[in-house]
Amino acid sequence: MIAARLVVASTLGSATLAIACSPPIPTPPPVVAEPTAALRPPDVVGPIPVASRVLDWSIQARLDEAAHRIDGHARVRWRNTSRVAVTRMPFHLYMNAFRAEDTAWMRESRGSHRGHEARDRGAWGYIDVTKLARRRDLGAGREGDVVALAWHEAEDPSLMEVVLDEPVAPGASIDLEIDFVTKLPEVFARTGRAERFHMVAQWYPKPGVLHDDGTWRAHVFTYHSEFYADFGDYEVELDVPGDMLVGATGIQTDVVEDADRKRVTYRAEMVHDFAWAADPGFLEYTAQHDGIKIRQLVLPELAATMGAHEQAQIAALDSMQPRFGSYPWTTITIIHPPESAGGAGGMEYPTLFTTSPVYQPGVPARIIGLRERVSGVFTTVHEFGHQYFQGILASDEHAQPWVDEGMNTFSNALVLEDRHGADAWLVRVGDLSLHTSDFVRMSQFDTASLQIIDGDADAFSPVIGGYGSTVYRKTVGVMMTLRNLVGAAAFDAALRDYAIAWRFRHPTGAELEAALRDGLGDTVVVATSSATDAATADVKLDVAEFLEQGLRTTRIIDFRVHSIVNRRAQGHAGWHRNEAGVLVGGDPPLAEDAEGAPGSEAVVVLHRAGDFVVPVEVEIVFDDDTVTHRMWSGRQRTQTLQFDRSVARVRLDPAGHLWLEHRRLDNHRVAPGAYDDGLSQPVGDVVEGAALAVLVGVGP
Amino acid sequence: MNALRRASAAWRWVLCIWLGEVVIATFGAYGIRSHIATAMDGLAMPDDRLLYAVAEHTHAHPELVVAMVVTLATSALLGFVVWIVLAPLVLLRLRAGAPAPAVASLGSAWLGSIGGIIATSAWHLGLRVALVLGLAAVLGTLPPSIAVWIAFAVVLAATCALDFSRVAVVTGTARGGSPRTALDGFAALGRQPRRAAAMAGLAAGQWLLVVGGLVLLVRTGGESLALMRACAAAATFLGVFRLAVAIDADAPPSRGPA
Repeated sequence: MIAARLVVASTLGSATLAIACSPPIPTPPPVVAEPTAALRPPDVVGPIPVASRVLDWSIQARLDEAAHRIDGHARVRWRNTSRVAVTRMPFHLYMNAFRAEDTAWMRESRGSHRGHEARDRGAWGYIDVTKLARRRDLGAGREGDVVALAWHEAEDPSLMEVVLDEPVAPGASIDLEIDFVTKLPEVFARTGRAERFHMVAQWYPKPGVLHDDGTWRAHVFTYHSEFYADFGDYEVELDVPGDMLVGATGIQTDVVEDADRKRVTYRAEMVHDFAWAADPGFLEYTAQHDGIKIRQLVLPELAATMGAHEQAQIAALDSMQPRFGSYPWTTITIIHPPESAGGAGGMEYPTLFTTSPVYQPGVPARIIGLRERVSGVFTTVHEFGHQYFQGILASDEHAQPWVDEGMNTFSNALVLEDRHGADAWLVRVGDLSLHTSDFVRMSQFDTASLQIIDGDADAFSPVIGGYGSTVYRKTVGVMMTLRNLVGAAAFDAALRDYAIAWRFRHPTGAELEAALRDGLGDTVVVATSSATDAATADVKLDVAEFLEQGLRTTRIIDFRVHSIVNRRAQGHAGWHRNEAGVLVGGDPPLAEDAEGAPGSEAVVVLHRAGDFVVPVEVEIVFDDDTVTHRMWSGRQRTQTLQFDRSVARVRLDPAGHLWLEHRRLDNHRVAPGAYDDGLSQPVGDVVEGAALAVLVGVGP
Repeated sequence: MNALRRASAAWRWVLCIWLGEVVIATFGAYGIRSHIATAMDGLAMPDDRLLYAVAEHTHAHPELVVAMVVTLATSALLGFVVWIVLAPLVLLRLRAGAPAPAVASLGSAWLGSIGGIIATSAWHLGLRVALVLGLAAVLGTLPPSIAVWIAFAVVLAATCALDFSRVAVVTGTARGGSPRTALDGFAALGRQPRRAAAMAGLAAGQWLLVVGGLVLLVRTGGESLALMRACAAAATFLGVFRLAVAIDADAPPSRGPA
């Protein structure tokens, strides 16, 4: 009886608590008017290189929801901006990655992506080109007839090659007409559908990128390869069921409703991809910041945290625009995939990205004071960051994924720094925190020396692992370590110069490194973190050497304080020759405490345990609590420091500048004697407390 | 004599039980402290980032995690066994009220009831296992935020039922070897709902104290161990108080002043 009462009381209490704790769904504010131009004013956008306008698209697409099928017709004008004539064009058919079990993507992924599985036959998706032709240009705006072209899929169906009927000369253009059918997979890897939610990405044939020397860049779509494409303008008409709310790249220019269907037209400028999402249950939340319309589309069950995502989006804009130049487009659309379509979350497309839910802590997590910035808020910052690192700075994600993924994650750390202070915490439990640098370091525990950063996407096999910790987080470690060593102002200026110079272009890693070398200089004098100790003039950082080690070797940074020896200083006791050459003296050594004894001296031995050569700051605390800082070049394996007084403790990298160093517990040594290591006591105390709780729990 | 006075009169016992708990916990944690201190060997944390230091250390010494788990499991086992042995002594002491009975009479009474206490504790253990298995199927279908409270209520009920059974064995009104004694413990929850509610409240208070102390200890990174020990002392007293409430119903008239 009492048990039943207690159960009922607890249940009611819990239910009340659960209801009280369920965040309310905010009422969508009035919708901000759609901008009339896809790009912001020219003085905000900045110069757009003429050679960057390569593709102009006009696409009509009809979604057959029941058949999970899109029938598309694309008309694309492609310009040859290279120095050679072109007779063939490779196209990406990314959706064919999901066509069968033996595609390159499926073989590598084994039907799994970021923990989401391809579950059944419905997981298959494909794109089938049904017609491809060239439309003759008769000049003066007159269109001629069409000439059918031959095409064939490559060995892997994610690529096809089109054979042109006549060469396209340098500077000339060609108009292609393409009919295609896209079958949407059940979403588990970025694109597809789940129930009535549709995330339609990589859904049309996309040409490769022709480099200036006439070589095409087009890659087989593999597990880590992602995308690479040219800039251009898009005019896209989407024919969808009438109850669906659509979000897409660019601005919405027209809606025509017709019985139970509607045709929504979007226009985008200077983008290299077009993606869209649709769901009848979407709620629409809009806001405006700095003249940019922020549009969020979300199902009611995820709507409670709209405000957190909006604030994250604004923080990212406020940080990245001053750092990397103005955001050039007038809209940014954030899609919140439902739980059933979790595989679509966390992906970037021009002016549109998908995010992930903000973690909602339960009662136990709230009791222990758990707070975090690593779930949905970070996803929003990260995916928006891609608007710069790949959206505007359109590097080849297959050839050098670190140039966008790594640099973007680095820029996310800067967003957090601008918003919350240097090395902001990402997780807090009560008074304890894990900071951004801690996450970078922890990611290196098992993978620091596994693979180099500067490899192509295919070098990172899912079997080996370590793609995320190397390409994303180790790049953050490299860049933040360099920034800390050379000074934030100089580094930020160099990176901004790179971002402005390569806007709307296809930068490579080499060009990023060159920009950093140009901005920073070949060598940089490294200062200590202490305001009172001047820079050690002879300790310089070789920027190129640092980047070479960080990006193209598996060397790790690891320093340790090998030893501290305090001992009696030696005096002059014993026999010495005088000026006349006669041995004099012979006094016995003085006792340490005798009057006139020479006192103490200290010998400190530092050890570079890792192979990565980099300067490191040394903090020395003497017995009288005075402190001095100096830089060690780190070029030798060991460094011996001598002092004419006793040393109490020595700490390497006291400011935590070396984000690439994950073994930190050997950086701080205390002179022999009783001391508090700082770790055994608190850990032991927590274990003792837990044991006490257990004992009381099983006791009386 | 009311239950609070019974419990208060046995304050030395409360103190001894608490000291025993502290000694066991300290001894268990000593191994952890020594392990880390030995590994550090002259090194010290380079900054105040305890979570990262713990992550780095446990990555380098994964055996530490095993040692922590073993420490807690050993504490649980030790506490369980020791308490089975001590329970009849405490119950007899509480039943006697004030002044404290002679050691010899306590000893002989303990020898007479220890077998029954072990047996009824074993029956209760079996019933708890059955309860856990039965509840797991039900709770698995509920939201975690609700399931955890139901599980907590069942734990409190099982605790009170065991108290009733032990009191019955110690007072000689039931045989420890019989499963019926264990079942009667649960039946007593319905027969004496007010008493059971009071006992459950005290048991909940115990949990609140130790879990609260532990949460604070974790949140402060081990800086509030003294407070945790104080919480354990208070919780131990509440536990003895709870037993005194259970025994009040069956206790003979007190030999001491009321």
